[in-house]
Amino acid sequence: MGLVQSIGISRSGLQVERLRMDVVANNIANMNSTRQANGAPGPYQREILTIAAQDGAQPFPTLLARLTGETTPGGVTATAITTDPSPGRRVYDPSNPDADAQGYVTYPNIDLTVEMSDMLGAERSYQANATALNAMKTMAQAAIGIGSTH
Amino acid sequence: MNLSIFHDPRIDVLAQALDGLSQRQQAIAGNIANVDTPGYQRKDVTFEAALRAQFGLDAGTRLATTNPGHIPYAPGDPGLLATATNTNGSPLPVQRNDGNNVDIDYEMTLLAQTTLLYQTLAQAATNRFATLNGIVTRLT
Repeated sequence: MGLVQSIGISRSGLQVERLRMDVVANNIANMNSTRQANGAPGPYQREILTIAAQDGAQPFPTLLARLTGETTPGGVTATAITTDPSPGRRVYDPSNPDADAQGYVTYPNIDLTVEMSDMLGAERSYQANATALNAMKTMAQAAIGIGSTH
Repeated sequence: MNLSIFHDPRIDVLAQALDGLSQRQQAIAGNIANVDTPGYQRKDVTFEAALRAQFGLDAGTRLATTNPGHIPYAPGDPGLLATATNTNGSPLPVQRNDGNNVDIDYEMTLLAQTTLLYQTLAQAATNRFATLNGIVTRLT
């Protein structure tokens, strides 16, 4: 039971880090988007992923743990993807069709340094979760080996 | 007819230690999954002291020293079953401004330690059952 739940915890970590990577990739891909997704004027706004600790990794083990009075260490979950309201960088380019009356184009509020460091963080955290998953598999195999006489 | 070899307390100790290690592994997996969660406080599982008390290992297990060069073992010394029981985790303070106290290096080393100890105890249990199996097959 414990080992099976550990898979769910590590899986939640892997999923969240992958989602974080998706958000970062989306921010980097849109770092020069001067219009919204629907074509409306206004630059792309940087997206931020907020995460929170989870009570239990999976619905069924959580329910079972509540019934048996066990406490579960839980995993992690993504709670929301919000937009960063900070103003974008303004570049003087009067010939651009998206330039305002003063001739300035507002580009998204994306700092490539921040996105790159966030990406590295997500990558390393993903690896840590994958290592935890592999350790759990090693332990499960050792447990299966108990009592086998070869 | 004496069946005491099948009620070996060593198997009970091993089973409960494996259970405790499995739960610790689960706690570590949760800590690693929440390494970036703001405000998360790490969780740990401590079971060694309770296990030693339950089976009277503190009172009974001691090593004889018959040579001045022998390393003495006194009850309460960290032995095979005593690993990190520090609920605060890393002995070094974690310098983070998001209220999270997970030290990833500490968690990864504890994970490796837990896995190795689990494998060791699982192997010990396997050997014990192989011995019993050998006895049974030779008697019949």
